[in-house]
Amino acid sequence: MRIFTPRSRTTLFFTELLLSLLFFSLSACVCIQIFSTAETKRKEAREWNHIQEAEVIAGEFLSGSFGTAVEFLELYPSGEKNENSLLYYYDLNWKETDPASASYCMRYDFSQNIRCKTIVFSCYRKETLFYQQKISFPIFRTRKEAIGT
Amino acid sequence: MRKKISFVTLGIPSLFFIFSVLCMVIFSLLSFRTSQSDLAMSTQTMEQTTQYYQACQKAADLCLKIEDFSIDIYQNTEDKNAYYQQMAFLSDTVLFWNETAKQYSFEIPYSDTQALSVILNIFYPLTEEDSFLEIDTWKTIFTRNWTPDTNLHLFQGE
Repeated sequence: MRIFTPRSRTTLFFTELLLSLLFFSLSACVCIQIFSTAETKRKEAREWNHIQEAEVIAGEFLSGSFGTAVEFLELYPSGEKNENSLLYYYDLNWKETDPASASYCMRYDFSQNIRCKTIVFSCYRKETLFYQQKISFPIFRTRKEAIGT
Repeated sequence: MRKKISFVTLGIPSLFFIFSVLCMVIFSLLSFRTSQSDLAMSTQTMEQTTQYYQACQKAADLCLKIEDFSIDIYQNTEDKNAYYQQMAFLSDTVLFWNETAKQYSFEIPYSDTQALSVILNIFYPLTEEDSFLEIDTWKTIFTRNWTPDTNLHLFQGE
């Protein structure tokens, strides 16, 4: 029968500790990757939530107004006016910020069409377009506008 | 003689290892599952919103088509009765003309269960400021009935 001396017990303990640390680091690698994927998915979900919110704002605004950039700016004054479009800048946490430190940009393009109020809503992530949607509602003409008499 | 307790005890590192890995795996899988369902929910909401506004765009085009038609008829008819009689000619499988209410209605399906329902009042403009159309209804409707399962499957015995 083998007799375990205190010295051999210590060696066994450290061997077990080393093996545990090795397997722990391997499993930690896998778990960190899972955490990282979860974080990426959460970030993507947050992006879609904010885009959806901004799109619905545009839609609701169109249904209850004449659909001009000036009217939109009255409701959401932080926008940067650029000819016939409005630009809103957001940082990584979706807080409004200046163009220099922006990670996202929402752009609302207002049409000059007198028959249809339209907003082309676009979302940019680091200057790359990743969502775009055209929103339209009709404007009905009066008899005078349609035929002049 | 009392036995000396040493920290160098076999099995303790393995126990710590098993416990910590178990915790890590559980928490990582839980957070992964939560974020996955969050993303699925956001994507679904986003798709639905996009489909709704695409349906709105189609509806806007149809409204303008009806307006063009009514203006054309207005210019080519002499009185109100003839105007409303002619208005019925635009009806097809999508556009429905309601003779009594003088309304055009149509539905644009945008998902398996939902559609955009639009009802337009058609007018015969008498003054210069009157318009030919007016939106009466612009709303989302459910196209499929949902019947919840209210049965309780009780044990009936052998």
